[in-house]
Order: sequence, then structure tokens, then C-alpha cells
Amino acid sequence: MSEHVHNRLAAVRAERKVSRQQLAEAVGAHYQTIGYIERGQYNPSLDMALRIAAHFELPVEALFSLEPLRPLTAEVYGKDSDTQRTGRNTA
Amino acid sequence: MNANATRYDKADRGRYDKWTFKTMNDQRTKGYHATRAARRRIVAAHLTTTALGLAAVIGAYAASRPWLLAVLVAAMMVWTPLTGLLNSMTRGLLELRTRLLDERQLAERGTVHTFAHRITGWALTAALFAFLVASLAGASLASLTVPLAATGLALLVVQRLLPLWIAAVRVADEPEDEE
Repeated sequence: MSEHVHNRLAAVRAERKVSRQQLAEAVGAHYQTIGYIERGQYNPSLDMALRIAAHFELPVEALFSLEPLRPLTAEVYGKDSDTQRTGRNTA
Repeated sequence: MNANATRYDKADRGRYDKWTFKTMNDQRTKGYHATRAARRRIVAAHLTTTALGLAAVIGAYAASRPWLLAVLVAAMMVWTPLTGLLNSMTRGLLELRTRLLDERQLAERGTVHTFAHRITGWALTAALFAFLVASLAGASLASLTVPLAATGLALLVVQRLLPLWIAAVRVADEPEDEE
């Protein structure tokens, strides 16, 4: 089992314009803990992961994954960021 | 979002909890320990003043020189604000009540205490072994009084402060928020 849980918390938090402090207060954590989670230095409990997901009204798998997460733009447009930049699909 | 189920809930906090939490998370001291190098300097300074104070107490007792207690007072005047900085950089990890810490902090507190417990365990074993060797070599209990007292006091101080030093060394740099 993977010890590292990948997440796109920083990207979602930036998109929603939510500070670490605001998110921390909303989910009942210390603001430093949010930073640790974003940097992959701490894997949140299922309880906290669900609370964070609920705060953003997203499914938990949209924020956390055992596999590396694709960029949000790739999720939306179905392309990798490289493909978007060059306009070519090399896959 | 329902945060009422968490232990890290502001609604549960009394006046003392709110005061200690605010003190330990005071952002005004952030600049003093923002980098790893700065944090290590503070830990080194705290270690030095602790050793100085300890040496003063032991010296005053062993050599019957009460004036050495003045050195202790001087060391404490530096030691006290340094302890405040250590608590600030760890955000009160070892001082705040359990209900004021979140899950990561509780895990970190456990890790720090486990590590410190292991080290003090080895230090106690080494001290015990050293006194056993001294005793077997023919040292009388009277001649070991001062070393026993000094070692006991030093181990007590280390047992109390080692978790704080370890926690301070383990603190990671804090990225700036986008706000």
C-alpha cells in the first residue's frame, strides 16, 4: 500500500480563494496542518479528508488519491498540460 | 461542515485554553524562527543556557559556592525567552492541552515523546552502568554523593527538555500563504 497520498488541495484552495487559515478553521485543524497536507508531509485521516472534501463540496477522490493526480485542466479538457501548450497530442 | 465532532473545536475552549492557544500561536515571533538555521541556533542557545544553569546549580551545591546561583539567575534570564521561542516555533506542541491539538499535532507529539523517551532511557542506562562500574571499582557511596546528585539533576532536566528540543529541530519551514 502506498504511504504517500497525493492531493490537489493547494490548487483547489487557490481556485476557491480560501486561505490555509480559513480552511483550517472550517475543518477543525491547525493552519500548519493544511500546509503539511499540501506538501505531502502529512497524510490526513479519513475523517479529516472527508471534512476537507465536504468543505469544498467535492468528492474526496477529487482531492486525494493513492495515484498521482492529473492537473485540473487535464481533468476538465481531457488533455495533458503539455498537449494544451503545444496543441499536439503526443500520446 | 460539522466541526463539532472534532476535539480541535474552539467552542470547547475555556478562557485559559484560549489564552494559551493564542500565546503559543502568536505570529509576532514568527520572524525569529522562520528558517531552519534560525531554529537550530535557538535550540543551540537554549541547550547552552540550560547547561550553564545546570552547571551553576551543581557547582553551588558541590563546591559550596552560593555566588554561583547568580550565574543561574543570569542564565534563566536568557533561558526563559528562549523557551518562549521554542514553544512558539512548535506552536505549543508540548504545552497545550490535548484537546487544543489537531490530529497531526497529536501524532507529532507522540513521535517526539517516543524519540525522547528512547534517548533518556539509554542515558539512564549509561548512568546506572557508570555508577555500577564505579561502585565495583571500590568507590564509596559518600564519594559518589555529588556525582549522583549531579547526574540525577541533569537527567531530570534532560527528561523534561529533550522533547522540546527534538520538536523544535523537527519543525518544517512554513510557506507563505497566498492571502
